[in-house]
Amino acid sequence: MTVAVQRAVRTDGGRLERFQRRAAETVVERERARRAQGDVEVLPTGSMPWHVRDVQRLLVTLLLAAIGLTASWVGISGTVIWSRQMLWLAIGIASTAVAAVAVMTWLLTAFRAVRVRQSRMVDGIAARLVLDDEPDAADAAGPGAAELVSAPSMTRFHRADCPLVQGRPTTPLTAARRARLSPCGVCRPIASSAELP
Amino acid sequence: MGFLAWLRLQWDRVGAWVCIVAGAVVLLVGYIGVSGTPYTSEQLPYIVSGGLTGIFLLGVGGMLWLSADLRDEWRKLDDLDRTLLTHKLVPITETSVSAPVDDATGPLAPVRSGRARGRA
Repeated sequence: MTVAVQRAVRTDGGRLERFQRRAAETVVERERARRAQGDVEVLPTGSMPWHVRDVQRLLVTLLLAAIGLTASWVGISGTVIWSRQMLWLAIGIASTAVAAVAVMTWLLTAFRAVRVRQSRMVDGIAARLVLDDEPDAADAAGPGAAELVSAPSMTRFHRADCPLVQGRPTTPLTAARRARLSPCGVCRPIASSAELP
Repeated sequence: MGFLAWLRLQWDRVGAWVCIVAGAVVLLVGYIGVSGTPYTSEQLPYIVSGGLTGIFLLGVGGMLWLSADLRDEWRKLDDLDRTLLTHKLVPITETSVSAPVDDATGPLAPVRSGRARGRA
């Protein structure tokens, strides 16, 4: 198990459920966006990377190619006239080409399905791990960090634990002052804007 | 695991080898037939029956072999899906979003053990 996966597993139950929900929402939103763009790859749900229609198409095409080859063989054996033999030879070559196209289509379909499924799985895991790495607001803020402060002489507002305001007289930020000030670039209090008075 | 059970699991690889061997034999027969006559009108049937049919069989054999590998890879992804769901890492996969999961054959269906899985 990778370190990233172990880290994700260590999360507590509440966060796990929240992350699950958000990851699912992310995945569903991405899928909806794909559908909206018409880019929908409906993957096979069975134990093989092909739909039933792919199997049917391959079998029918190979059967037709085999019939063509047999007819070509029978036809070319039944005459010694050069022009007729060339006709039957062309039919045989065409049948082989049809079979080759069917085989290539079959393999490419599976390669594509496997690649799309891998990609979607990685997207899902990545979404989950990214969400997992997002710290809780309370955890990230720390004690006193939720409070935004400023001082009359300052042109920016800060978190209470910002190193730029340590030891300086500050007052809690009001909405009126916040409208005139810009956020500190060091403590980045924008994330706490929802907690403004 | 008995021979029949193994054959049932590895039918695609067995079929691949059968087709490849048959293709090689047919090609050889075609070569012998073409070599046995100086007349083009008598050589052409061997080119179709031996040459084209041999190529056809070799192609089908290669396709079956690659198909077996792809099916193994698909089953590995099933395993991975199951592991992720077990650890609740991915609660809802895009596969299950894009297509309804068949209870019998979906990502949680029993996985056939394949040769390539042992290499993972």
